[in-house]
Amino acid sequence: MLWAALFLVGLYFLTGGSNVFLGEWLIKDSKNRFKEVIQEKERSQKAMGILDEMIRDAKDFNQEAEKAEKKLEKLVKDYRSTRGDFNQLFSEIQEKGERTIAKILDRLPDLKSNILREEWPKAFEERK
Amino acid sequence: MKATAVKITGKIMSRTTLFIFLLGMVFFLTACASKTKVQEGDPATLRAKWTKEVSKVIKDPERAEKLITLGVRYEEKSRELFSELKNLAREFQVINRNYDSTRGDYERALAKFKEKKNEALRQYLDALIAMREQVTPEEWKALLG
Repeated sequence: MLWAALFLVGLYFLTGGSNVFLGEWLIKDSKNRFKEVIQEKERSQKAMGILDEMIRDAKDFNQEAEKAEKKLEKLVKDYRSTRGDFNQLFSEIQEKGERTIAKILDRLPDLKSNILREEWPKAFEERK
Repeated sequence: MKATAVKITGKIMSRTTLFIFLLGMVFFLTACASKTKVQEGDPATLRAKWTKEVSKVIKDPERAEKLITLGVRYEEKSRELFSELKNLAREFQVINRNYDSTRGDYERALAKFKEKKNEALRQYLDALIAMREQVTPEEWKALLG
């Protein structure tokens, strides 16, 4: 078990902790935060639509990350797996991650266009 | 063995970092206030468990010692990298909070993060292969069981 735990680090580095960061619960929560801070209904609806698209991108990546995790597990357990096998997997998931990043960054200006400068930081305030 | 082994802490759920997770996750924000099993407990306890585990499977003391040393070294390096990645995660937090952050700001931070992540993956692979070289296929299977 401890041995396996050591390799979870690699898995974590590989996927970027994607299940945590892209978790549905988390994404839904962030929508709630923006709903709270955006004062106008129309802007809020638009922002929610954009966030939905971002969430969809994130979920798509999550699925890919889960597949990568399974592949990594197989590679780790396989005594014959080569460095090349691992590097190929790392490259694949990185490429997919970068595509997701690009999509989300593309949507960011639209999201901000529906959120006022003074509303934006409120979404990040700590809750007591 | 899934990424769910990465434990969600109270910190992760903080509102400040919320948006980081929406955007930052795709930047491979691996170390953002999260905690893996490897980071659990103090290093001394972890090493003691590791030594016990290896000694149980590897009967050759010399090879067992090598494997233990490699594991400990890797664990130390991993801790350092997690620490560095956490610092980079904080940079993302600042970028996310700033309404005027540009795409370039994100991309520069991402490039730094990617570099560090790739270093982590290289170290991971080096350690895995070095450790595997010390064991037989049967021992490997037993250790991963």
